[in-house]
Amino acid sequence: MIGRDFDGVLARAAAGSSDDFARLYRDVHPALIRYLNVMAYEQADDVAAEAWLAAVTSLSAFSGTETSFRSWLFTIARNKLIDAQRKASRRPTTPLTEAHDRTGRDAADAADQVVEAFSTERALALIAELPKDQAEAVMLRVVVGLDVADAAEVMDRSPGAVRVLAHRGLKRLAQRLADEENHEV
Amino acid sequence: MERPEGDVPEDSRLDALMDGTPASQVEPALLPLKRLLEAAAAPGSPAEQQDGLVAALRAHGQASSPTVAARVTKQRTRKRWTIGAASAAVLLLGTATSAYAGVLPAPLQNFAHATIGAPSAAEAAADDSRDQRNPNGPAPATDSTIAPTPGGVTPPGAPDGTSWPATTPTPGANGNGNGNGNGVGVAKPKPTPSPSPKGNANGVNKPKPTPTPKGNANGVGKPKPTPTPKGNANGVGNTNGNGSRP
Repeated sequence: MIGRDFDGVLARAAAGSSDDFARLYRDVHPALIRYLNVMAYEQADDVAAEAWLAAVTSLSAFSGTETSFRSWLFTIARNKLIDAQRKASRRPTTPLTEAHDRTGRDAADAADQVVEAFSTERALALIAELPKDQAEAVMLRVVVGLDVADAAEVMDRSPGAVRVLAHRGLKRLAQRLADEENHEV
Repeated sequence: MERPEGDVPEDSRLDALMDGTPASQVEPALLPLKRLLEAAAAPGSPAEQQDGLVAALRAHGQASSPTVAARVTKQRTRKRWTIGAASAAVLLLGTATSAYAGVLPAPLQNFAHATIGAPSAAEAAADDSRDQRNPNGPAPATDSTIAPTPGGVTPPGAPDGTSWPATTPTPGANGNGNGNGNGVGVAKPKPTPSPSPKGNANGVNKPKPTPTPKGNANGVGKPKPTPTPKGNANGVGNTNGNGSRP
């Protein structure tokens, strides 16, 4: 998060400062690409590019806090993702591999070393195993850093529903980790 | 394998995890989950931060350049002009249609009459009054100059000896009626009286193929919705059957 400087960075980026825009990008893009990787790995890069393209064209029209900027950007990305998935459903393709997760590693492998330090990739792979709406709620709350209200706005759901989804996702993750731990023992 | 009931994390503890509670304050059972979430939310690597940055900067530069901004403004202006022209065309077309229908206010109607040849306000008003008299159909071709003649006939059933409209029969007039019983049907005038015994004289009879023998005194009949094949008194029946219906 940029913090107190955010307003100035945003204003200068909207006025055309490439340095400030790059700062915004570097701050938000990792979370954006992780979120999109969890939601739709094959389309993540394209959707992220489209989302940024849409964001820069209307950056001067945006005003708000850093959290609302993230909420706004992720709403754009989510809409672009829905559009991309709709297009993809009209042109179905056969996936090359189905048993592998987004990191190219078997999902079972991802939980092998959970007690030890997690790598970001493995953590995201475990989250990606959750049902889609639970994974999205966890990603928006934990990785993107939105509160329940903002996450609900992005997901177009009620705050209560998002809270329940996130809880279910975390409980499922905890269950999975405990199972792996017991299995090893 | 199901976890024991007591091992299920409470919602409040999960909220605390998501809100960034330090690992030192997290109970041991949730530490693996805490580590997983920390790893997922770890700061972006340089590779992640640079991924796509060049393309985004290019797009940002294009969106911020004055030429692009000017082009966008120009496009918006053109779009507004297009919408305005289309709206004006629709408005003009609607006004012209209203003018030819004669439903505009009088000043506008007269203006339309002068400019595009629409009916004048007076004509429109006359049409309106005619339509109000005969709401069931088009304005009939009345001819109030037809004079009454003795022997005018009335179809049976005129109770008071009067009829409407007060057109007067002419022998040989080719009466027709509107056939709907509202009394607005009128005679189809014939310029030259015909000695033909056909046709009733009142001009407001309902078209009947056979004469009606009954008539009333004033010689003008009141149209009746139910045709009765009775002749009139003077033997002048409406036999031509060329009644017009509105």
